[in-house]
This record gives sequence, structure tokens and C-alpha cells, in this order.
Amino acid sequence: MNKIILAVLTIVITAFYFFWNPSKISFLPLCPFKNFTGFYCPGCGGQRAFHDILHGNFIAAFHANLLIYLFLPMAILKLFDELTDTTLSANLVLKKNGIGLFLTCLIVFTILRNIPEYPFNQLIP
Amino acid sequence: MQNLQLADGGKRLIAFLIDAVILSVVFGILFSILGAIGMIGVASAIPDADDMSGAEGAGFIAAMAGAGLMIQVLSLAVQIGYFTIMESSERQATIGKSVMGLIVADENGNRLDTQKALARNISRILSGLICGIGYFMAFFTEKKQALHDIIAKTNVYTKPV
Repeated sequence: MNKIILAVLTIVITAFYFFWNPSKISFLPLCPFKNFTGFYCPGCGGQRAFHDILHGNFIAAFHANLLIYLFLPMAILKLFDELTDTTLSANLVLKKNGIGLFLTCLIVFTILRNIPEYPFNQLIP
Repeated sequence: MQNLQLADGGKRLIAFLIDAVILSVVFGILFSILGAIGMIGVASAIPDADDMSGAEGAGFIAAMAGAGLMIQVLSLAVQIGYFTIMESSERQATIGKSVMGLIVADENGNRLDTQKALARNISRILSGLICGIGYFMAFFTEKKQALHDIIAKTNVYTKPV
């Protein structure tokens, strides 16, 4: 039952982002961080990046949010595991140091993408 | 401590969606009532909007912005309250988590006290602020912890049968 829900959710969400362009519609959730602080958060542009990838615009996706190239493969692998009862993603888990490194990368990425100078402005969604 | 098993990210995601739906219904009702009261207040305070002076207009806009901010603070407080009370209760779970057969506990499997549950759910703001990346972390950390679990040193387990 859980697998069916998960599969249906995945299809619905993917179809949604395929058919609707997040930069052209206004009812999608806006980033609360951007709203309050005016700065881009590490997830900003993620919805656009997903839309771009679904349409094969890989460079546009890179500009919108390059983390999509980290998160999407992980999400796909994890989803595959959940649906097929395999444990392929078990090798990818982050332990203590890994979590620290990951969070550091997130913070560095957030700082860099808020610098409005070349080459960092390429990271602005 | 019983032998508890860490809960999968997928189950937690569905539990979260159930809670989100429940909270939206509550917010929908709450804010409709608040909105209606506000509208009646506005209508009685400004008999003719066309006659508003610049200062009155600015005051009106400021009041509306204030109301918006208040609604955001209120909804955050309701969310934190709901999660904290439910997760530190005997049930150790929100309604969504109960439906999915999950419980929240500390890293030793003990029930959270109010303080710890509050810490967990205030940290939740951070998980959400970075566009949900904090939540996503539950899928690939060793103990299946989201960012707010790591900060508050808590875990989500499947309920022992």
C-alpha cells in the first residue's frame, strides 16, 4: 500500500513539474528564506531545475540549482530502493563526518550563490 | 528500552503529508474566521475607501502587512505546538505518524520530554527554511535523521507491535 502511494505521488509530482513551468506560475510555494532575508537559500531554484531537467535543459538546470545533480540521483536511487525492497542506496548514507561535510558544502554554496559577481552569479537561480 | 527499528524516509514523508493536510484544514477554518472578523473591522473603520488620504492609505497597508505577519507567526506557533504536544505525549506521534505506525523518541529510544520535543520542532523551521533540504536529509543519513533530528538528537522509529 505504501509503495502504491509513493509511486502515485512520484508520478503526480513529476507530471506536475513537467507540464507546469515553475517560473511562470505563482501558486507554488515560495522560498521562506528568500522571502524573509532577500538572500537565496541552497534550495532556491530547485523546482525550476527539476522542470528544466525534465525538458532536457541540463545547462539551465545547472544555473537554476546545481544541487539538483546531487539530489535527483539520490532521490531516484532511494525511490527505487523503497519500491523494490533493494538496498542500493545503503552505500550512500552519510555518517557523522559526512553530515558535517554536507552541511558545510550547503553553507558554502549558499554564500557563493549570493555573491553577485562573475563567476558566482552563474549560481543565481 | 525495546529494540526499536528506525523508520524509513518514505513512511515519514507520507506521515508528514497527512499532518500537512490536517493542519491546512485547521488553518483554513481558523483563518477564515479571523479574516471575516478582520473584514468586518475594516469595513466599519473605513466607510468610503475613495476618500482615504495618503496617510490613511499608508496606515491601512501597514495594518494589512501587520495582519499578514501575525497570521504567519500564529500558524508557525500552531504548527510547533501541535507537533510538540503530540510527540511528547504518551502516543509519541502526531496523527500522521500514528497512521503510519511511527513514534518519535530520543537516540536511546526514550519518550521525549516537552523540552526536547520543542527543540526538535523549532529546529524544524531550519529544515524547512532551506527549501526542505533539512527534511530530505532523512533519506541519506546513517540513522535516517532529518536535520532537526540531528540537532535535537531524536529519531523516528517504527512502532513496536
